[in-house]
Order: sequence, then structure tokens, then C-alpha cells
Amino acid sequence: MSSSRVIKSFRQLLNESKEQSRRRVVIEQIISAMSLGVNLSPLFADMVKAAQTTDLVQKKMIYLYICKYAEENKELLILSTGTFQRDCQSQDPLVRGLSLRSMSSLMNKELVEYMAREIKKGLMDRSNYVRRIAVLATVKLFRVSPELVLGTEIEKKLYSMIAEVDPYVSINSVVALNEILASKGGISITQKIIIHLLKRFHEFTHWGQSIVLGLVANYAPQSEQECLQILNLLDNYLKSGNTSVILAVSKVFINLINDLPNLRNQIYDRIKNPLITLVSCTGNEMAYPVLKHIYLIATQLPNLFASEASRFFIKGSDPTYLQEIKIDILCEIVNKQNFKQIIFALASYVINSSLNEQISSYCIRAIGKIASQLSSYFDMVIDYLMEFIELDIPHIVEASMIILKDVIRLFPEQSLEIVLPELKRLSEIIHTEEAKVSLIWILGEFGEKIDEGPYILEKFVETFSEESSEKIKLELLTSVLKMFFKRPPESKKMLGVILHEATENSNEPDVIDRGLFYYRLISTDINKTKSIVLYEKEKFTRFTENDPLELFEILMDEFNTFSVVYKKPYDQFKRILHKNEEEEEEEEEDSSTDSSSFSEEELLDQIQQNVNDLDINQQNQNQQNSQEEQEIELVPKFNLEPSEFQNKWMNSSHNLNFDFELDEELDKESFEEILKENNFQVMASGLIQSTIKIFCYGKDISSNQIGLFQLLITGVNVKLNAKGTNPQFLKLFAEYIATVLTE
Amino acid sequence: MIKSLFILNTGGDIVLEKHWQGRTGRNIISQFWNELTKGNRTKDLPPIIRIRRQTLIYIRKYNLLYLVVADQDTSPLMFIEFLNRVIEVFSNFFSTEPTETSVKENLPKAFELLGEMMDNVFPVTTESSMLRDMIGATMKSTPNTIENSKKFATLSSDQVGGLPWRRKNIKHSPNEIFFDVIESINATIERSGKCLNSEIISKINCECKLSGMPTLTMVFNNSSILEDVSFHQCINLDTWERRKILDFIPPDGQFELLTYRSNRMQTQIPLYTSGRFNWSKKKRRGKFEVILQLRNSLVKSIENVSVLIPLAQGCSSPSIKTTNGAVFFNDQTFELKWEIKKMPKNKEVSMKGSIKLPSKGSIPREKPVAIITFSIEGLCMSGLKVTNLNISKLKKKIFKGVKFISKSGNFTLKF
Repeated sequence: MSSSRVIKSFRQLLNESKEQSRRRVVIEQIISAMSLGVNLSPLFADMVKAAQTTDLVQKKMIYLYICKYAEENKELLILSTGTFQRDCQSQDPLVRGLSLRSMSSLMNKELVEYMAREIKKGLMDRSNYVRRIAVLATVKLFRVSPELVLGTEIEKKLYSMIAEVDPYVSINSVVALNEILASKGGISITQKIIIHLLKRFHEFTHWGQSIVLGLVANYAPQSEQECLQILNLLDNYLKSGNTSVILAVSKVFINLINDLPNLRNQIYDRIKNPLITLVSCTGNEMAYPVLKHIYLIATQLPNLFASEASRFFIKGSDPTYLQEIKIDILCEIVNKQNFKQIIFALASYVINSSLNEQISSYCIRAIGKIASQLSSYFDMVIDYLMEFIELDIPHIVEASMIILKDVIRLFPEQSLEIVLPELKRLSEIIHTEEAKVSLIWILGEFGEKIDEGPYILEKFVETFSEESSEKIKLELLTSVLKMFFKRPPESKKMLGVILHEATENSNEPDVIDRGLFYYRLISTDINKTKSIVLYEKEKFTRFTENDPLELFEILMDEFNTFSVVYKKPYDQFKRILHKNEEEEEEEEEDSSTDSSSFSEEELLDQIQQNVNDLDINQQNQNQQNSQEEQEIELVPKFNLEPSEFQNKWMNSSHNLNFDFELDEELDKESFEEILKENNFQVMASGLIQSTIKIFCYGKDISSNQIGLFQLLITGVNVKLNAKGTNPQFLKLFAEYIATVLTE
Repeated sequence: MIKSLFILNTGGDIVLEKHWQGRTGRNIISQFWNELTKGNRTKDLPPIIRIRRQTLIYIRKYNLLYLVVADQDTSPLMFIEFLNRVIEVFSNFFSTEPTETSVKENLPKAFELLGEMMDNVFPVTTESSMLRDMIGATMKSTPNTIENSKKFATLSSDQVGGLPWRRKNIKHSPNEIFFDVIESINATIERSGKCLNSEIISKINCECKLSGMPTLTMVFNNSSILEDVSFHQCINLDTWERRKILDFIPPDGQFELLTYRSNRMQTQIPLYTSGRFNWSKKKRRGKFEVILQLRNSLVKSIENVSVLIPLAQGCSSPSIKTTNGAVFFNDQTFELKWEIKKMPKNKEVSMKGSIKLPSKGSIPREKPVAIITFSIEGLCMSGLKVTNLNISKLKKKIFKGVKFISKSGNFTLKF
């Protein structure tokens, strides 16, 4: 059924149904269809007419409809004001409230005058229910026309309404003022207001309590006695049935510590148990933010939760996000009493096959972090790491070797004693890339301390030419060079082999580069090379992945907000919230072409969406094109001395690799010819087996940018390595060469 | 605070959307859904995430997913609490669990409720009994009676002396109040039957049908059990601090009075559990045995006992003998489930058998665990007893009762 037929039949039904109970069913159907996503906007006039009913059920549904489609029917909206105004005069407070709430939700500039008038009346209404709604409606009025609220009698009235007997009216006034005055830092918190709100704290709903607590947290008590009064009053609310109240009380307490530093430990002790109870007594969703807060507190007071380590042990049924945060907490609360228990637990998660790989690697990193904290944890850690490596499970070996490397950097003396004798065996059982890189690093750094050190490296060198990993090759080059300076007689040959392989037989530009670099270094000044390669390293004391301590201090100030969950200060996403608004506006527009979850509507929307995407793509492409229009044109006779070239080649700040294919094979001479025709200067060229190698360069006329290139051509495959100072131009250069060569 | 709420079904279709401020486009929902279903690990997406630089918070219940779009940096827990409240209120007003079908059937009511629960992105009235006051009138009445009677219901919120959680002039006949003390035992049991660790997570649910504004006092035998406790708002916290008794004017209808956590168990865990499990490399089979026995003399009967063993992928051909109950093997999820309708007294029951591993692949290094469920009426593991329940300001005859239920929470046997 297409939507125009739906609308026709609804209209007919509305007109035909005189009987109220029948009308109610029809309107119910309209609401259902509306929330399915069918666009029923054309029924607006009919629905406004129907709003004159005395049946509250129908009225509520019709107002819901009007609010939804008001935007698209601005010109018809004026028809509804009569009904709204009449309903604001109704005898029934429910009708008055409903009308006021709906009308103020329309956010329509045209209606602002009516709105303001009715809201002012609403603030004086005899019914608490209506006044509650009127108070919150002032915020909606503020959003449309701030000048009608700010600094007017409405603002004054709101302040006075905080004192009202009805707790909802009182709290709503606080909420409204806080929002209206947001740009001035919210409602002005005076001692009088705080005392008033705290006195009647128990009357408020949990939501109201959370709001009040937010204000108290920002309030600076004027004496120590006042601090203690607040502390005593709120202490009971750590037993609240509402988790957000418990966290809000915790925040107030933590802020009060600044005024009562000698009570610091007692205060933290008070909030400890309620928080732990929240973790075990609530669902996963609730436990997640609570655990994030416990983690934050643990970064400040590791010992607070130390005796409760078992509360943070992983359960098989925990989703990954809970497992990760629990592991983070365990890392923080580790101390001399519980470290055995914690490391044991973490180690058992590593080998527990019912947990996923991500978690087992996470646990290994956690174990490494713990080792970094105190050397007395270290013995236990290294035993486990060695055990993990023996397991021969790729992801475990990988993570363990990386951590082993870090642990050796932290505690070289103790760990080498254990690791060195095992190196040979490890070199035989390790297969994965990162693990090998770590092992080779260890060999280069400490391998000279064992007799067979150079020979283990040599084994890797033997398979260098078959090695496909660039990372391993690079690490191996460095390690062999290091070894050469420590154990020259045994390493001389291997160094020769690897330098030859790297410079002559490799395809990876970086490997060739590093090989050439080492080669030149050694041939220039061997003693200097030694001092460069074996430089005195700074003592490594902290894992880089550990977060800066200042971050946690900022986060403590932002306790009980999303910052703690994201582990990011509010500043880092505050501005983004603003940008959001623009984005939302866009979104609001595109959602007005409401997608329906069934029928052609959805299809249409989908198509619309696709068309939009297409436009965006095209725009992007256009942008790219416009960039390309700054075409490269090379200076005809630009010349660099070989030494200049070499210097630039070694010291360029940017590097770009670009692979492309030719239409047909060419020989070396033809390449050089083509390049020269296009004003590229060839620095050097050669043929290594079947690969043509060309170094060339060029200078762009308009920008004066210089590009240096290495081309490795095997058959129709070209590997281009470009170097220069501007990455954008490098890309243009590279594309230019590709066009030149393929045409 | 909350700008928009979306309720999604298991396929990611929108069942209901409610916007309190502006309108959030549906695009963000499809992006969220992609995030959620990525990599087939749907339960691992954190409940609080940022997408398109907006904060989204979601929870799941009864096969529906409740998702809110947040606009301010306020307490993250407030959002989750609010969503839980929405689910609770829906359950109360639909008189059934809010499922896709029941939400769709009750759509106008759902919108009505959401409209009252939150106004201008701030939660207002979220107590079912207070909402009944605002929604109740429209629920029962037929349109014609409304038209005929020119009298309007006066809202209790407009009367002096109401409470945030209880309206005035409630009338019930008969007057009754019932409490359920439900204790869930979390425990890890060694294969020898030794208990490695245990705790009790408990709650007291209440169903209250009392007229007027009754004040209740509840006294416990040992209030120190309630050390880690969270209370419903109705409980007078001062009285609790001073005299360790509960003093409260209850909300009307069903509500959760309090929750508590305790490490101390007064009695033995009523179900003795032991077992073993071994992977045999040669035969490529897992051999296992589980033994259960009722062992608490206070327990009259223990019901719905089941033992669930999640096995390694590809396991097949179970061969099992039991003394009681029935065994099911699900060859899709590779779960073995043993169910015992009624546990005999003074007698061990056991399940013994083996399961075949797939012919290729490595032997699992880990042994599986057995997840045990049961429930027992009339027993309270923490030893909590209500010694006195007093209802004042109500002259009429009142039916009252307290029921104790102990059940398994996270109860696992490690082989």
C-alpha cells in the first residue's frame, strides 16, 4: 500500500467515525503507522480538527502527532493555536498540562508570543502538575527566544519557585535555571539555596537528588563544620537504591576531601563498599561505568581496593568490555600482599581458551605492567612469560615476547640470567613476526653475553633472502651490526652477507636504504659508527603505554561524567559537542524525509541515501581533481651533484612508496629516454638480475619542490620510492611519473 | 540529558522512537547497528559508546534493545537507571514483559508514559504508582464515560501531603502486602566439592496493596547482614542508622524494597556438588561425572535443578548414564544439559558419560566448567529473618507475608 492510499483511507476513517470509541481506535492506528515510519504529514489539518475532542486519550495521541509533524506544516500550525489555548483554560489539570507541554515542544518562532503568555500563566497555575510542566517549558521557550526568558520576570519567578512546597516544582526550577544560565556557568549557587535543597533532600526523586548533588559538588562550603554537616547528611544516601545517586554522593565526598584532607582515608573508606556492591548487584551495563570509576579511584589510592582483588576477577560470562576494565583495575591495585593472587589469576586467563584472544593478549600486557611496578613481582612474572612462550600458541607467544623484551629493558640484570640460557631454544620455537622481531632485538642488545649469541643470529641471516617480513629484516640488520661491534671475529662474515643481501638482493626500499646507510657509515668511520650504534641508552623505567598521571587528576575533577568512561578530559570532546549541532541540523533535515521500516518508502529513502552518498563521492573526486590541476611541470635543466642527491636522499623528511603496473615491458634505455623527455634527470641506473633500478630526480616549476625517486622495475611491475619535503607534492610527483611511464 | 530514545528489535528495526528535544536522524541507528554486529560479538560492545561524536547508551532486555542519545556530559549512570526504569514501568503498565509485540500493541500508552517520565530532557515522574495517577484515568475510562462526566479527577500531586513515590487516597480491598526475599548464591566449587569462594546477592521485592498512607516497620533478627545495602527511596535512612530497623511508607504496587550483598553464609550450601572431567588424548573423548546431593536438613525440597556444560566446538556423540533426570545435548551450541525435576532426599544423584571430540584438531587444554542452577523455597542462606512487621495507621484487617527463596546466581563447578 503506498502512503498516499494510506492517507486517503485514514482521512476517510476520521471523517466517518463519529462515535468516540471508534475514533479512538482510528487515531491509535494513525499513531502506530506513524511510528512505523510512514509519513502521515498530509493528515495534519484533519488531525488538528480532531484535536477538539474531549477524550483525553485521543487528545494525547493527536498532540503527539502534531508535535511530530509541526515542522513540515508550519503554515497549518496556526490553526492549532486555538485548540492549544482553549485546552490551556481547561478545568482538568491534565489537559492544561498536556497542552502546555505540547505547545512548548513545537519550538516554533511564530507561536512564541502565545507560548510565552501561556507559560507565564502556567507558572501561576493552581495545580502543582501544571506548574511543574510550565517550569520546564521555560527552557523550551529559552531555546527559541532567549531574550524572552533571560533577565526577565520569568527568570526571577523561577528563582522564587525553588522554595515551593511541591518538590517537583522546586527541583524543576533548579534544572530550568541551570540550563537557561548554562552560558554563565549555571544557576548561582548560594549557601541559602544549598541549605534549602539539602534540608528537603529526602523529598526529591532520585533524579532531583542527583541534580542537587551536582550543585553541592560545585559548592564551596564556608567552614569545616559545614563540610562535616554535608558529609553526615549525605552519608546515608550511599545506601540509595539508585546508582547515579551513589556516584553523585561519592563525587561530593571526593570534592570535600580538599577541605578535609585529614579525613581523606575515612572518606574513601565510606564510598568503597557501596561501589563494590554496585558492581556485583547490578547488571553488566551498570557495572561498566561503575568499574571505570573504581579504576579511576584506584589510580589515586591503589591500596583502597587492594584487599578486594577477588571482586575484580573475571567471570566467564562477563562481556569483553567488563573483562578489560577489571584487568585494568587489577593492575592498579596490585601490592605486596596480593600480587601472587593477582598474577596467578591473570596468568590463568591467558591460557583459558574460553576467553578470547584479545583478552589473553591483554592479560599478558597487564602482567608486564605489573612487573614494571616493582622488581619483587618480577620473578613470578618472568616465569609465567617463559611458560607462555613454550605454549606455542601464536597470539600468546607474540604478546609474551613483546612483554619479555620490555621486562628485560626494565630489569636487565635479573631477567637476563633467566632468559639468556633459553635464547637458542626460543629461536627455534618462535614463528610469528612480532615475536621474532623482539627476539632479534634481545639478541642484538644482549646476545654477546652468551657464547652462541652470534650463531643464533647467523641462523636468521642465513634465511634472510627468503624472509618476507620487512620488520624482521630491518631489526636483523641492526642487531647484526650491534653484534659486529661486540663480537667482531664471529660476526664479520655474517655482517658482510647481510649487507650484501640487503643492498643488492632486496626489494624493500627501506631495507636497501638501511643497508646502504650502514654500509656507508662503516666505510666512512668505523669508530664513529660504533658509538652511534652502541649508544648509551637511557634507563627505561616506565611503560610508554601507561597513562600520564596528570590525566587522572583531571578525571578526578570530572568524576561521575562521561569523561571517566572515555578516559578523556571533557575538554577533548566539549568542542566536538558544538560541531555536533551542525551535524544534527543536517541530520534533522534528512530525517524529515522519514524512512519507513517497510514498503517502498524505505526503498525510496535508501535510494535517496545512495544518491546523497554518490554526490559526496563526486564532490570528493572533484576536490581531488582540482588538486591535480596544479599539474607538475618540471624545470628543463635542473641539476644536482651526486653528493647533493645522496644528502637529500638520506635526509628527506617524507617518504612515499607507490606501486603501479606498465602496459608493456620496456628496457632500461627506453625508460631513461622517457624520463629525460619529461625533464627528469637520471642520477644512476643499473640492472640487478632482471630488475631495472633507476635513481632520478626533478624539480617542479611552479612550486620549486624537488622530488627524488628510486624506480625498481621488474617486468611490468614498478616499485616507486619517492622522497621529498612535502607529502602532497610527493603524491603528485609519483602520480606524474606513473602517467609519464604508462603513456 | 536524553535527547532521543530508540527501541530496536533483534534485527535492528526500530520498534519505537521518542524524541524529547529536536530529532535525531535514523542514520545514527544504522551506524550503531553496524558497530554492534561487527565481528559477530554482539555482546561485547560497551554499553556507552561514541558514534559520530555523539554519546549513545544502550541496554538490552527481553530481546529488545533500548538506546538513548545523550546530549550533555552528566552522570552516565543516570541514563542507564532511566532505561531500567522505562523497562520496569512498561512491565507494570503492559501487565506483561515489554517485548516487540507488547510494545507495538501498547504504542499509544508507551508514548504517553514516556511523555510523563521525561520532560525537556529531564526525568520527572518515573514511579509506576505516581504515573498511574496521570495515565490511570485514560487507561480505564472508555471515551463515552469521559464525555458524560464533567468531573475531572483531581491529581494527587495537587494535594498536600503526597509523597514522591506514593499518591494519596489509595483504596484497596482486601488490604495485603507480601515480601519476597530472594537470595542468589554466587559460588565456585572445586571438583572435590570444596567451595572456593561464595557470596550472596539478594533483594527484597514487595507487592503492596494497602489503602491510605500506612507506615511500616520491619525488624530483622540480625541487621549486620545488611551491611552492603541499597534502599528504595521510601525507607527512612535516619531510622535505619539509629535503630537498624526499616521504617517506610511503601509505594503502591510492585517495587524493590532493598538489595544487599553478603559474604557470610549461615548455613551450608544446600546442594553438594562434585565431579571430574578428563580429555583422553588416545580415544579423543572427554570422560566426565557430576554428582549432586541435597545436604541441608532444613531444606524440604529443591526444584528446577540443572547442570549445563558448555563443551568444545565440534563435540558429538554423547554417551551418558544418569541416576535421575534427563540429559539433552545441543549439537549447535555444543552444550550438554542435565535436568532434574525433583531432587530425592538423602540420596546422591549422578550423571556419568563421555563425549567425542572432532577427529581433527588439538585436544583442548582447558577443562570445561559446569554451570549449576537451582531454586529453593523457604530457605535463606544469609540467615536473615524478619522478626517483626508492623503496619500502623491502618485499622482494617491486613494480609501480610514474607517468603524466602534461595537460588543459584553464578554457580559453577570447576572440574
